[in-house]
Amino acid sequence: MNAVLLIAWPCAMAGSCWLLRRAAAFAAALASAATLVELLIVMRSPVDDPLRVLGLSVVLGGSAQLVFGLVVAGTLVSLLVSCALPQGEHTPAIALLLLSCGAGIALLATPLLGTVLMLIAGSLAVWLILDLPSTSAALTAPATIGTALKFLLLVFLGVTLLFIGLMLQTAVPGQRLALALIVLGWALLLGLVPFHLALPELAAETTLPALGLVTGSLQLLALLLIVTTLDVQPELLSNPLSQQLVLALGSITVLGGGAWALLAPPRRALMFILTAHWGFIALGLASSQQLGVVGALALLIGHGLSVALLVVSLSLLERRVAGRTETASLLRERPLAATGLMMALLTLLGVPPLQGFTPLALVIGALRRHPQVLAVGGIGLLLLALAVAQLIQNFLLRPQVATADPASYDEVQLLPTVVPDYAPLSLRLLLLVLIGLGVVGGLFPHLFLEPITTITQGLPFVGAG
Amino acid sequence: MDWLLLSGLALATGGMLLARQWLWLVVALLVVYMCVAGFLFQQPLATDLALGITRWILPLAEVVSGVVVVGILLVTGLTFGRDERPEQLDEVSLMELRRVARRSFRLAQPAEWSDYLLPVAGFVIALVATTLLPHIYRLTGAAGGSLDAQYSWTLLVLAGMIQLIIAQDMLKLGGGILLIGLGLQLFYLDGSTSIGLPVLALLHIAMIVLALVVAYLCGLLYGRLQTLDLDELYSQREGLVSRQPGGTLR
Repeated sequence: MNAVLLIAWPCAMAGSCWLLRRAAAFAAALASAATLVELLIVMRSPVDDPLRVLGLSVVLGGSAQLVFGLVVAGTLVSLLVSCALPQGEHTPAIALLLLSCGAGIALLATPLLGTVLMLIAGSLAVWLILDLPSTSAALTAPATIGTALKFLLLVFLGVTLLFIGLMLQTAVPGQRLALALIVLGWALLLGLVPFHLALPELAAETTLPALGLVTGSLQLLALLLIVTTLDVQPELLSNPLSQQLVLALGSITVLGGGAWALLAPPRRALMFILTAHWGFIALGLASSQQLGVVGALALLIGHGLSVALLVVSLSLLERRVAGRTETASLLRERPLAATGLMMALLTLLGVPPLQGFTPLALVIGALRRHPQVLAVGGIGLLLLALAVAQLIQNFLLRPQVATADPASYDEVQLLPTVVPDYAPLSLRLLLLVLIGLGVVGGLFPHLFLEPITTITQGLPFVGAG
Repeated sequence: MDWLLLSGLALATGGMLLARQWLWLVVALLVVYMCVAGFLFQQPLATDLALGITRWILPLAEVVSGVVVVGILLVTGLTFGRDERPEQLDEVSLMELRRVARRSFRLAQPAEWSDYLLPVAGFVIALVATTLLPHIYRLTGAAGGSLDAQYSWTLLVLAGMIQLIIAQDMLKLGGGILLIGLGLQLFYLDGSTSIGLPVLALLHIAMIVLALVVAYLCGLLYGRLQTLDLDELYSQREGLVSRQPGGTLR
């Protein structure tokens, strides 16, 4: 029953949200409520309890439950942000459809089926990138259209390679061509360097809720697909060729992401930092040791949390409020939002005592058998640290240039006025909750490490270590 | 009969590569769909037994899916493929007028042989690779797939890839995506040892969703630039302000 609900519930609610799309805030609130219900259903669903629904074998594995739960939680945060900010009129409906696709990937646990569902989810995400608020008088910028097109092509290419690779692997297991195609498909879907081309542009060209949904939900769906595939075909990662390929791509991603983050403008730099973090997750998975896989799955929690913090903080930091003149640094003018952004960056960097520290230490510990990879990871981490420091210095600590507001020259402006707050109360509360989660996760790592360790013990591709 | 369908498939994919007008592209895509449906009817790929369905179902599904996809592209082409009229432009700026003038100049040029050089070369490469690949590397050998089927899906995937590389407008690019998707369907039917109806159904749905996305992109591009030309899109990308207000981090 839960399985049917997990797939059908978001679909039905997506229809409702689409009908209510003109009432944008109400549709977003409805979608948030529906996502919360989905999260509760995921958490209460029995694990590893196979059953047959409409002739299909359906099972929710422990790792799939964890990753899909993160997808749902990430979607919830993006939808909550979209309740308070202008977003595309179709965003709530598309977000729910993405959840439906994700539930299909998690439950049906058939790699080919999951791959096709990923294609549908990726195509829907293109709509998300291009979606404008119903009240918007602006036209979609050519840059945004170009970014969406690039994103579509990369997702399509990734799915095509993965599909062909899986078919070949099924026909003759262990073919080198098949393994190479599968790993390339994964890299394209996760946006690992050098297949990350669309993501930095996406950061600059789309709305924050859409950005949150693509980086916080769609990319996690890609990882969900990888995890469910490895559940069925563990030899895909235990094979030396594919393991070496993933290690190489992970190393390049950590190094390239860190280097580009130093050189790119701020929003793109944020996306490069997130990309480098994916590199560490890939390295943890490729180690195929329990230590590394536990670290990778725990890093995934930190990744989801950081994306949520980034989306909420940026939405507060970039918000223009009429009647508010700011000249001091953002950390002084908008302290809560700036703290949220700093926490997100430091969590990604693995700074203690935040949530990212323990998982990153576990991944680094698991890589001790690969000294070259460890060295590259260390350099990448150093570059990331520099990029984060540069971002904080330039964006949060530097005094702002006061923009001349024509109305401020009016004498009325000289009268004492009430300075409006920079953020709605709901978003500040949400940010506080996320910051609290980050701190609690960092101070008490056993809270998430113990369940993850239990989950990884049942994973077929995890060796001892 | 199979060689007739294979020839039809080759001609239609070649037509898609060479087509300069959107209407020919859409007609060629419809022919590709019909050839694939005919192929499925002519040569059951052990699929019917696995699914326990009659021989008609899969070709019929292919025809229905093809009609829907081609219908979407046809409406898109009819709506957004017409020649622009500068007097109807909503943003008459100097930049816009210059762009229209450039495009009019290009349209006034008759098609030359050199314009077809790249598509013809691509088509020949796709044909040669399709002929050789099954003999060099039998991709679905262990699954018991047929050689004709492998020719078909290899041609579709390769022609689609080449179309993606050489496409100069959004509709043609969409045609390339759909060709590859169709090739994947045929590959699945040919190469899979245990065929699942859900995968087939989802593949059809994915094709329709992709056609809709291409149509949406065409609509937005035409609404913004009054053309489906990709060169125009990438030349306009630089220097244009993003749509979002604010954005201190940009």
